[in-house]
Amino acid sequence: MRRKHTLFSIALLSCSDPVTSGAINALPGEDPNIPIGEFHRAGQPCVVCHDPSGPASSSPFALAGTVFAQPQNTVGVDQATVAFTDSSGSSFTVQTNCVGNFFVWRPGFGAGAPTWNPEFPIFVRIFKNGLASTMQGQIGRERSCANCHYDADPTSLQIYSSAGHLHLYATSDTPPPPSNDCPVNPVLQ
Amino acid sequence: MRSRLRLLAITAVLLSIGCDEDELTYDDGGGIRVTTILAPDQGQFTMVSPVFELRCGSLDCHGQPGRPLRIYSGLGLRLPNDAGNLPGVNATTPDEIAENYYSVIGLEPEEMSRVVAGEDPPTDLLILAKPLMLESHKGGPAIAPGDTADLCITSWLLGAGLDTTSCAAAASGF
Repeated sequence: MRRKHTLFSIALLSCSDPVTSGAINALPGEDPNIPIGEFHRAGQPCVVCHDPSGPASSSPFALAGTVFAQPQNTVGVDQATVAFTDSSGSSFTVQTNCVGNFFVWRPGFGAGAPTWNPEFPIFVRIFKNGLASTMQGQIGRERSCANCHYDADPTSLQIYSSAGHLHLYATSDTPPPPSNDCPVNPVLQ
Repeated sequence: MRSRLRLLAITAVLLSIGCDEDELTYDDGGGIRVTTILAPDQGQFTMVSPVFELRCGSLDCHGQPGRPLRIYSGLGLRLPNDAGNLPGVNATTPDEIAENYYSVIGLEPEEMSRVVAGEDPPTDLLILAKPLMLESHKGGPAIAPGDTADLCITSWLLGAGLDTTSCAAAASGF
């Protein structure tokens, strides 16, 4: 009887939300050259894991993403400002780190860092050194920018539902060079 | 007992005579159940579609191919094409507006028919009940009661004259 209970408990523990586990399984793996932390998994949908129900539930984000330089490359933009305004009129700004990652902590987390609990839809603008880029539409409910802003396989139907990776500069611009003092390579391989 | 059964049978026949749904649903002769829809005007939908595009059609909401009430738009999901139309590139096309129309009227074909026939109020449709939060909606309140989007969509559904002023205002922003 006890054995049956033990097996049942193990089965329960191994159960998980198939949506979350499927999304996690679909992610590229960790880069072995980048430790888990604020610089890891640039360009990936952060809140798949950094969610109260995800494996990184101890560090949940309200919103998160990566700002790259241009559409044709994935060079992280350091110290860009990402400015959000939600449907209640509340605003929040956050800076990117040297790989372009930014994240907004959920209330109650972040060890004293500013937190925000936005009401969707949200409007967003990115700027640095006087250059700004405004998202034309609104964010309806998605907390990970990369769930819509990803680089689709150009031969697949995904190109009709992807807005391409987030970028601040246009194709023809000359963006500033990537950060020299970044602890990891800010150029995504 | 027999008279009570007869009364029930007569009532059922009378009710079925007045039932539009029975007239709209039929077998196509090959065993396939077909539901025709009493639908609001497709031409007027050209002014209503931008409201759905703006309020509902972002890529993370109904601008997803796998979600019910699929909405195409210039800023969101694009209908596969050879014209180079991608999310954020070029305006919503007439083909996309037509697909949006079919999405909207086909979400609940029977209920849509009842609303257009004047049997049920527009708020019985999910396309209003959910964004108005009369029913649970993952995306929260996308429309407020009495706002320009509500007035636009409701006037279109009622068919008594499209509120073009509200439609234009709702399509231009929140």
